[in-house]
Parts: sequence; C-alpha cells; structure tokens
Amino acid sequence: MEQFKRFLMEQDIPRRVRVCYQCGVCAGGCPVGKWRWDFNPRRFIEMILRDEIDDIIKDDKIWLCAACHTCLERCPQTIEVSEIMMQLKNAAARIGSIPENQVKMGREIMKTGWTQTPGKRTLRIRRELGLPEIPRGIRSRELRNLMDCLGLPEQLKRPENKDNDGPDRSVVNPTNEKKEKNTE
Amino acid sequence: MVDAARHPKINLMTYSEVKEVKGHVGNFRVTIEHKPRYVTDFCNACGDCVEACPIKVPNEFDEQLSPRHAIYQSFAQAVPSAYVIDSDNCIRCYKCVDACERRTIDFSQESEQIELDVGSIVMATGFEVFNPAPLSEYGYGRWQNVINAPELERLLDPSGPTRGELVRPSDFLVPRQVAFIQCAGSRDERYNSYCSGYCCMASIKTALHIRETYPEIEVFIFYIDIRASHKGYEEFFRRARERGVKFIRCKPSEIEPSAGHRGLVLHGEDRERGRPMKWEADLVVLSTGAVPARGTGEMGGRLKVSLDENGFYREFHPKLRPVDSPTEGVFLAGAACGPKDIPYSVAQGSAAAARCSRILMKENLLIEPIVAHMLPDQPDRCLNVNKKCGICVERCPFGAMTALPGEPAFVTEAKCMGCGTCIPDCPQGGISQNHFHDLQIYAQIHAYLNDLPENKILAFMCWWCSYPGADNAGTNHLQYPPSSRGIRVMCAGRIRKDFILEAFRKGAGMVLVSGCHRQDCHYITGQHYAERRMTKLSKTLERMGISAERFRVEWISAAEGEKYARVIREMDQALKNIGQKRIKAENAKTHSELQRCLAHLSDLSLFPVKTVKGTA
Amino acid sequence: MGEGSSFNLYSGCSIRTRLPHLERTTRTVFEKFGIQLFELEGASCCPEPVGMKGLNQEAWLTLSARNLALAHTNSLPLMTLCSGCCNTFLETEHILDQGPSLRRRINHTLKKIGLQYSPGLMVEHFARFIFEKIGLNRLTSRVTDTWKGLPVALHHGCHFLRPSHIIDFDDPENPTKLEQLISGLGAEVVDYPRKMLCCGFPIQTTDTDLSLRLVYEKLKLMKTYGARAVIVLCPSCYLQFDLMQRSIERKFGVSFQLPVFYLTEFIGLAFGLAPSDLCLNFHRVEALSIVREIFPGIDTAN
Repeated sequence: MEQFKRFLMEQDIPRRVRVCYQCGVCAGGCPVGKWRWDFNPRRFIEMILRDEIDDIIKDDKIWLCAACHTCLERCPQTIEVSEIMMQLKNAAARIGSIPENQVKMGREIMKTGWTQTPGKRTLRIRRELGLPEIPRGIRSRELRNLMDCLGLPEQLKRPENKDNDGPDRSVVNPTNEKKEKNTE
Repeated sequence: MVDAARHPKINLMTYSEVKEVKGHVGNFRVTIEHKPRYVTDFCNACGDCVEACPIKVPNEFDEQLSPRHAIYQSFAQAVPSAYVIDSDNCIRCYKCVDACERRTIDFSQESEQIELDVGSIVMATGFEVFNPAPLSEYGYGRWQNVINAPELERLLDPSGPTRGELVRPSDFLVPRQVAFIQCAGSRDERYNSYCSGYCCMASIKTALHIRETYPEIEVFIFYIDIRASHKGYEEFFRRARERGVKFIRCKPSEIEPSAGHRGLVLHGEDRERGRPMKWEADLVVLSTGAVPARGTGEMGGRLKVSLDENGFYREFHPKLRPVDSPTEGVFLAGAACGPKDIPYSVAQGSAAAARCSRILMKENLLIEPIVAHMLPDQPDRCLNVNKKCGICVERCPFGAMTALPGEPAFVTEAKCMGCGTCIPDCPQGGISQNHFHDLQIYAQIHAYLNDLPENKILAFMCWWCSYPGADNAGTNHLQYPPSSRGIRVMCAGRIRKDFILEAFRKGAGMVLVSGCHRQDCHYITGQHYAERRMTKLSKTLERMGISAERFRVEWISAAEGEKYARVIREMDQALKNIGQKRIKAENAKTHSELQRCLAHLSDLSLFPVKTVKGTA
Repeated sequence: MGEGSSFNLYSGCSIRTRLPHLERTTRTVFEKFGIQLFELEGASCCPEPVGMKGLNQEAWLTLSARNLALAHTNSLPLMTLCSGCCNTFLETEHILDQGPSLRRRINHTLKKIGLQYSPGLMVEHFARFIFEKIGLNRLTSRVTDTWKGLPVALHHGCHFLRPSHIIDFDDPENPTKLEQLISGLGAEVVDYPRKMLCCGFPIQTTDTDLSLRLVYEKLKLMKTYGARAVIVLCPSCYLQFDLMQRSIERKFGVSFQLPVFYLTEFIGLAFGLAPSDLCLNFHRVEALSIVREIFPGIDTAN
C-alpha cells in the first residue's frame, strides 16, 4: 500500500483532489455508477481525501471506469475526475493489481504493437474491397526496446495478476425497469 | 420608495443615466441624461393609453413571462407612478395620443442633459441574476419547465402574470413536485466560483411559501451546503423542514424530460443513500447566484472605481472600509460591491450615507500631503502635447492624472492617494511626489552606502505592508543580522529601476525590493507594476554581470515579521557566501555601464557625487 | 484546406481488423472531394485510450508520441477514423504541450529508436473535418437524393467531444453542429434524452453485462423517441450498436432492428453511391431495407 500511495504522490493526486467538496455531480452522471452502485467516482475521491488507500483497489472496481469523461465535464471544482481514475488504475497496475483482460490487451500491444491484428480473411476482404495493402507496422525490435524502457513487460509479468478476474461481473443492483420513485 | 420620492431633500431622477463624472471629492460635476418618457407629469395613470396600444412585447419586470405594451407602467407600485413609452418598440401609431383624455402624451420630448454639482457619490447599482443557460446539463432554455428563481418569484406574486397561482410554464398546470437546485452556476469554477450567500435562504423562503400555500405539492431542495448564517436564518431553515420541505444533499448531474410523464427527471447521487437516484419533478427551479448588473463595468470606468475579479465594485478595504470605493468621495452600497441580502444591503446603505455626510458637513477636506506633482518644466516636456502619451493616466487607478489631447498631463491632488506608481514610467521623468522626491530617495541611498557599502543590504519597503512587516520582526524580537538598511516608500510602485542601479553603482552588497502581496496592495495596482518592472530589471542586472542573488524581490505583509527576518538572514548569508572580493569585482566590472545608464542623473543637483573613501 | 488535400490516414485497430468496410466507405466519400489518404508506415496502436492508458500512461504517451512523430516526418496532417484514436492523439499533444519535462523524457526514450516528437501536427477527426473544412454547403451540393426526413438518432460518443477543454468542438452536453450536417442530408435528427451517455464499449471485457445494459438503454431511448436508424462517428460505437443487437435480443428479449450507419456511409448514400460501393452487406443489423425504402431507385444488388 505504501508503494501505491507513493505512486499517487508522484502524480500529485492527493493535492489535485483537495478542492473536492463532495457534491456528487460526478456520481450522479456516471453511466457505470448508474447501474452498479458499487462503483462511485465520488467515493473514490473521498477515499483519497480520507487516506483510505486500501479501499481504492479493493475488488478492482476502478477498472470499471469507462473514461467517458462525463464527470470531468461536470465537476464544479474542475477536478479532472476521469483522469484521476486513470491514475488510480496506473498506480494499481504498478503494484500488480490488474485484471486479466487488461493484462491480455497489454500483452497483445507488447507483442504486435496493436490490440488486434487482421487475419487472412480480413486481408482478403480488404483486397476485394480495393483497399491498399496494410503497410508494415512498428518493428518488433523497436517495440521491444520501447516496452523495456517503460517497464511494461515487468509490470505485466507480476504473479499477483494470475487469477485476477477483475471486478465481480454480476450487476449489483437489479433491473431499473421499475420507475425510481423518491420514497419517504 | 414613496417616502424617498416625497422627501423634500431627495430628488428622485428615474429613467436617467449618469453620462460623465468630472472633478473630485467634495466637488464632483455629474452630467446626467434624462431620457424622454414621452408622457408628461399631467398623467393621472388611468391606463386608457395602454388599452389602445397595439404593440405587445415581453414584460421585463415579469421575467418575460407576460406581455406589456409599448406604453406601459413598469409595475403597479412603481415610483414615480409614471407611464413611459418604450421607443425601441413603439411604432408611432398615435393611438395612445387619441385615447388620452388629459392629452399628456408628448412625442416631441427630447433627452435632457442635467448637470449637478455634488459633494459625494454612492454607487448602488445592484446585481442581476446569473443566466444558467450555459449549464447545458440542466436544460434551461431547452425544457420549458426548468426556470430560474426570479421567474418563480413572479409566478408566486399575487400581482404577477398568473395572479399568484403557481403553474408550469408549459401547460399552466399546478406542479405536483417542485425541485430547487442550489448552486446552479455558483461555487463553480466553470462559471462563478463565489457563493452569493442569499440563494439558500431565498429558496428556503419560497419553498416554505409553496408548502404553506399548496400543501399537496412536494417540495425538494437539492443542495451541497445550506448557508443560513445570519440572525433567525437557521431557525427559519428548521421551520422549513418542520413544514415538510425535503432537503436532499445532492447536486444533480443532469435533467432530462421524462419519457411518458409530463415532468422532468433529475439524475444525481443521493448522498444519504450513497447511490445514484432519479427524482421526478414537474417544475425545476435553478437557484442561481448574483452577477454584477449590466453596465457596472462601464459606470466603474466613468467614475474610476475599480472592479474585483468577479466584476463587482472593489471596496477600499473589505474589512476596515467596506462601503468606501478606492476613489475618495465615491461610496458603495448593496450588491453592487458583492452579492448580499436585504439586511446587509440596507445596513450598507446607511453606512454609505453616513460616510457621505462626513464629507458634506465640512467646509474643507484635509488630504494627505504626499501627493504627486508635476515638475516645473514638465508642461514643456510632456509628450502628450505633441504626441499622444497618457501613460501616467493608465498607471493611476484613482483617476488622479488627466491628459487631455494636445495638453500636458496634470494631477488632481484631491484624487491622488500618494502611491507614486505614475512616476517611474513617465518617459520624460516629469512627475514627482511630495516628500518622496527622487532627490530625497537618492540622498538616502547615498547616506546608507557612504561607508562599506559592500557589506550592506539595501532594502526598499512599502509603507503599508513590508515596512510594518519589518517592524513586526523587531517588536517580536526576531533576530536578523544588522546588515540591512531600509528605505521607505509609500508603495513599491514608486520604486524606479534607477534607484537600484544607483545602489549598485554606489557599491551595495545586496538590494531587496519588497512590497505588499498582489491582492493586498493598498493602491490596487501598484504592486503589479512594481513586479513587472523588477522582473525586467533583474534580467538587466544579470546581463550586466551582477549575480542574481544580489537582487531580490519579496512580497511581505505586515504580519510577516518572520518572513522579513528570514529573508534578511538569507540575504546576509548569501552576501557572506559570495564574499567581498567577488562583490567588489562585480561592482568594478559594472561600474562604467551603470555610470552610463545613470548619466542623466547628473542633471540633478546631487550629482556628481563627492567621493568619500571606500566608494567609487 | 478542405477539398483536394492529402492526409496520412490513421484508421486504427478496429477498422483494420474488423471493419474494413468503414475504411472503404470513407475513402469512397473522400474521393468525391479529391482528398487523398496515404497509409502511415510503421504505425502502432494509437494506443487505446481507456485500457492501455490505464495500464501505463507513460507508455501510452510514448507510443502515441511515436505515431505523431512518424506522421510528422512526411509533413502531412493526420486523418483519424476513430474517436478513440483522435482523442489519444489530441490528448497527447495537449499533455506534452503542458509538461515540458515530460516531453523531454519521452523524447529521450524516442531518441533510442531514432524518432523525436515535436508539436504542431494537425490531427483531424473525419467527422469534424467534414463539418469544419468541407462544410455544409459543399456537402449538400453533392447530394443527389436526400434522406427524406428519416428520423435518425445521432450518437456522438464520449471521445468525440470530451474532454471539451482539449477538443473544444461543440457543447459536450448539448451539441448541435453535426446535427446540422445530418439535417442537411435530409434526415430528421431525433432529440432523445441522455444522448451523450456512453455506449458501454470500453467496459465490454471488464463487465460484459453492464456494457450490454448501456447500449440497450441507449437503443431503447432512441427507439422510444422515434428513431429509425442510428448514426455513429466511431468504429467502437459502431461495433457496440451493430454487433450487440443480437445479444440484446437474447438477453432482454427486445429486437430493435435499428440499422447503424457510420457517418460516411450515411453521407455516401445521399451522394447516390450504391450500397455495394459502401459495403452495406457487412452490417450485422440489416440496413438494406431502409436504404431501399428511402432511395427506391438505388442499385442494391450485391
């Protein structure tokens, strides 16, 4: 946890969220938070403010953030909430707390330079459609060089990542089909 | 209002605008344009003309919720009870003329220019409500049933467009739920970062009114914090809760129209429950804050009253002189100098009146003698005569300098506050200051640096902040080395770069320039110009060959004795670190260039200097 | 700077791997304006602005700066076909502009592979380019047959307008610019609630149920407010809306049957281009019937 805290300090996160007055506009507009009550951007900022660092990466909830930037647009204190969330992910990744699906993406980029590469069928279709040949991408040695400089292979190799399924898949609160009426 | 209009010593001039203000405290000459009403005083307010008028435009008093005619009375209780013709919309069909039995309509009326001699002025130009249209997430202007607070007030007013019946603008039905959203555009770095203070209580008052008049309507107030700080306010807040106004700690994230329901849906996070929620409301009221009334800036320009960072008039001092503007004789009252509610505004009105009477009671006003004056040969030298200059006019935030086209600039002593900021930037060096003449300051520099100058730190300090800061260090027995010598000026804006160059020419070890922090400058903009000049100067000095550590600029307040002591300690240590040898070497190296820069000082009787042992 | 200009094309992972027909469509429409698109050699993933950025922001910035440096070497501006890629590049330029020491550090890394990032490269999003540089008038002058008032729902997506202090194109809560374009093509843009709500694509692998839920909610609102087709500006949103309708049917039992058009497809049809030129057969949600309805004379043979 100390390491995680240190990574946050490197990016000056505690200072950047200081002006938050917990109005909840971010949580109110969050598309993920709307259907998953266990994901609450305001709460993440609150955890940083209260120094409840452990709670932040508990259950990998931060990886649910879709980076839609609605919170960033609406925050009256102009806190870049989605960017803070991104830094929380970065810090979690640095200490090895990464869900498997993210590791997969990282490994694919490290290997080929792309999140996905066209297979034979797609290449054939491209030719049929009269599209130009896809040029050579980044050379693997170059890619390797860059990735090593940035410490990515190390990061993705951590044993903590094994069996990390990511946040609990089930939708926490049942369907919102019924109209939400304000009670009491 | 009626009492004010009737008072024998009050002349109420409505439909009039201040066009120009000349002069100074005790003797202002105000030019007022009285616009034509096209209706004479013979009018008995029968209203026949209104019925005859074919033109209908939105009624500003009713927040555009109802129409008025081109000939109209602002509102029923208007003082004076006058009718006026809106010449922007009047089509001159003369139907009103025909309808008027008393023949009071006179289209030949013209604007009148009135000149008044007054001793003091009070600016009480009020505020306007922030328009929440930029907050697209709330849909003001898109959804009809999202309204702002003044619109709601009109709807509830018995003399308003609906005779006091609360109905929705879209379908005129009585709402079932009313939601207030506090802080719409306030406490918001994207729009107004300040809190206007009255909106919480205003919403609570209206909410309570709705609950008492329509017990079946559910009323919600969505808030971040409730501000109920004055006498009786917290109790009132409690009463609202007792009467069933629901307070929800949540700033809604967005509003959208409800599908399949006549109302609106507010999305937000219910803090008490800790999860996102949707609330339905038939009518949403955005409680927005105050912004300066239109024309505040323009009027401020006419009277040379500075504005603060939010566009409200700036007080001379927020705590100690809250109804004085920086300009002598011009006072401020009410929301014009910052959002405030009724009791506070009334108190300020009384205070401003008292401040005015202080001036009016006297035959003569005593002013400080430390004012600026033009040097005797300045009229011949002033650049403004042949070319357009006016730099001194720009430097003065009090309007004390005047530079009419083709004429030499001059000082209006009654307006001069004695900062001296105009002096360094005059390209002809034509301005000086009583008791702070350049000669006097050079004399102090020479006196201090006569003996062993390389050991000394020459400190320029401003009267309001850094000098008392140094005093503060002394009275608190905070230790600092005896190498500093202080020269006091009224404001850091008085300091010419030549003073510092001369100090180094005389061999000073170190020079410190200090003044108020930017927001504390007693003369509003003096520190700003001082900082600008000193930043430029530090680059010049470095280029000349003076080590950067030998010239320091610090902003020190009157309470920061600790800081002053620390700065002198640090400079003294730096002085020792650099060492006498290097200082003397640098001084020798830069001497001839400095002599060249300061050659014009040989005009002054102080130069050339009588050499004393140890100096150049 | 509009018609007749040349660009480095950056089509991105999605279009290259799964949606070649969107590249085909764009090239065909851009050819009508004499715009030339050259493939950028040596490029890599932009990289992806949600997952990859979350893994290691500095790696993300480095790879992005590398792509920008590559594009800079042949002095052509960059044309992106994906809001995510465009967002990555614009954010990178903004961050490196604001942080000189970070820029130095990244350039230090890039030096090892013989590249240097320097600011000033023009990065275009194809939709914004069409609105700003080609313009409504030039666009409508090429229209041969309008969309005849078809009610359509425009989904801007998250990364086309936000963060608005970096992108600064239109009001991020209530945009109106592209609506003008689409109205200019004769369609009626339906105003539906929560139109700026995320489609859910970025969390597809993190929480598949939630991702599906979001696109379901969006389609539901669009349909309720009368839309008969969806227009998207990004291949990720395209995948989410087009591909997921079958899964929605299975999970929620609702069949929306709302065809999804990438903006250039929508434009191309109004220009009289044949569906085969635009490869509409690649759509998962069948689009040909609506095309036949609106453009009766059009050649829908495959």
